[in-house]
Amino acid sequence: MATREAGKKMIMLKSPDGMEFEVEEAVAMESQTIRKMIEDDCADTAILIPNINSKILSRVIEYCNKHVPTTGATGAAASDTVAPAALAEDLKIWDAEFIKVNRATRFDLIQAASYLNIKGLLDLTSQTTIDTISDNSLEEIRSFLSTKNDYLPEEEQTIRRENQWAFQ
Amino acid sequence: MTVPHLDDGIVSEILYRLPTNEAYRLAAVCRQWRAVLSQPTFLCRHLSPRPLPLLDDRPYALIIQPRWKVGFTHLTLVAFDPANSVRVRVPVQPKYTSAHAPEHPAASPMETAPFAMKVEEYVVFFERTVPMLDISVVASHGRLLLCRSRVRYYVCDPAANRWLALPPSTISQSSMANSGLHYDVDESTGRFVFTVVHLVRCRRRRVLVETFSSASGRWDARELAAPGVARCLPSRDESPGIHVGMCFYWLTRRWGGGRRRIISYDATHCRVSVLHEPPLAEKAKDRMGRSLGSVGGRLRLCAYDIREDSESMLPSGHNHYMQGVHGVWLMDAASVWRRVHEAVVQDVSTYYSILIEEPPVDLAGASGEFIVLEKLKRLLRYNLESGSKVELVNLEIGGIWRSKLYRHYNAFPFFK
Repeated sequence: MATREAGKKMIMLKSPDGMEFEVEEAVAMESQTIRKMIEDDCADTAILIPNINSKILSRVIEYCNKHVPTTGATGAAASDTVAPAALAEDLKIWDAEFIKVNRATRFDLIQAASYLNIKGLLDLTSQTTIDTISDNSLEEIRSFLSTKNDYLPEEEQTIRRENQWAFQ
Repeated sequence: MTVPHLDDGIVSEILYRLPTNEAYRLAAVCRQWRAVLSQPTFLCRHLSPRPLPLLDDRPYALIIQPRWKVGFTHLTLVAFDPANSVRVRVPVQPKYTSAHAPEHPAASPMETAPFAMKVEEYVVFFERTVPMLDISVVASHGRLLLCRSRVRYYVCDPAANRWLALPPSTISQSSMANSGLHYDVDESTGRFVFTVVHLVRCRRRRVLVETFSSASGRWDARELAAPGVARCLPSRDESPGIHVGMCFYWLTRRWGGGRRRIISYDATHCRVSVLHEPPLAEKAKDRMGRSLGSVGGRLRLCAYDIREDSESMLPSGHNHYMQGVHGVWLMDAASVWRRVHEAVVQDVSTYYSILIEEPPVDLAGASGEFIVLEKLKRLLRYNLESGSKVELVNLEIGGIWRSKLYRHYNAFPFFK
């Protein structure tokens, strides 16, 4: 990464477990949270990203690298030869491959995307979860998400009555 | 396999994207999920109304809803521009349909169509969601509606067929409340914040003001001492709340003579007060109708007065020559009514001394050019500049049950 041509501003991201990632400013600015830090000049040295371990952070950076708008020296050639529709199709396939991770990683990714405020990643990870849980019974959803049913039986009846229309 | 920890943030990310039915079904998963449904992160994101329409935008349609329920919710959607057609069939229980007006034939073309037609979300909302929730519209702002059922209030986005079930409020659902709704969209984040207001009369001439904000996710109630306002509450059949900025207004419909009052609630300063309506037109003897609306950030009052013109006697045997006068006023920054329009309707009396009234209809967020009038159960769109009147709907079509049902009604704008 350090071998990139000069002129591109690089940003150092640090995960709490001590790993450091050097990324282009444009890539880091895919995250609205980091963008704000940069714009407010709070990012002159390295940015510590709390709560996100190095494994997840590297995946997030991978996603941002792929999704950063293809402009400038590296992107110009690609966008001249490839039609935008094909490019979008390509990204979709890449996304589908990217999200093939286990549940725990996916929830970590949702949390990271939510904290870093990366809309595309948030949409992707949440939508994948929604696709897997919709049309399932409550029992199946509970077991899939390893959530315990902490309602008393009569309470659950009350909840169902309260929003009866939702169960039709 | 590690057990993933789902914090409120993740649950909220998942729930707010789901269709409304599905989101509320999942309230039964566990306590945490149910709690998330009344948190601001869900309340401010589940509906995604586009920013408020421009002040001069015309609504796509009017929602005409009977003021009293007869065991079920009914409403009619009327295109604001007669060139458009709105195809919404609100189901009606068979006992309310009359034999000679088969308004809902057993097999509608939609159901028998062999290919799946793309049905717009708002059609699903009015045809399925409204009867399912059994709700009536009580207030509106821009693209959102405030509705109430027997047990709770809902904030609905009809164009997207999404809605929010508000937590139960502290006031009894059966009590007469003057209700209002206001929302703001933050264009950069797409989040929106809404406020619901209820005014109820309570003991010792006090007024109970209850507000719900999506930013806090709970109801706040406070009692205000305001004898003048308490006297005007509860209005027998309340007009929908009209608001200008964070000020809400209701026209009281107290029976008996005298001038009607307008109740106002300033949510910023938490103050209730009573306003007077503008005086009658010159030489007028009575005011037959008035309505409230808001245009261009100003409160607008439309009134229809009757005056007798004894000087010009008609040869046809009329004893009286009656004129109707339409007046439109806007309230200026100093809370003074300024008249912006006056037009005379010539000879509104008939041989049997029945007056042909054209009272205006309350409409929140109407466009500046138009007001809506009712003339002999027909709704007319009245262009203030050109003076032209276009018929939108005849409320007497559809049999006796329907004209009875629509004797008193409220109108709300619907933006597609």
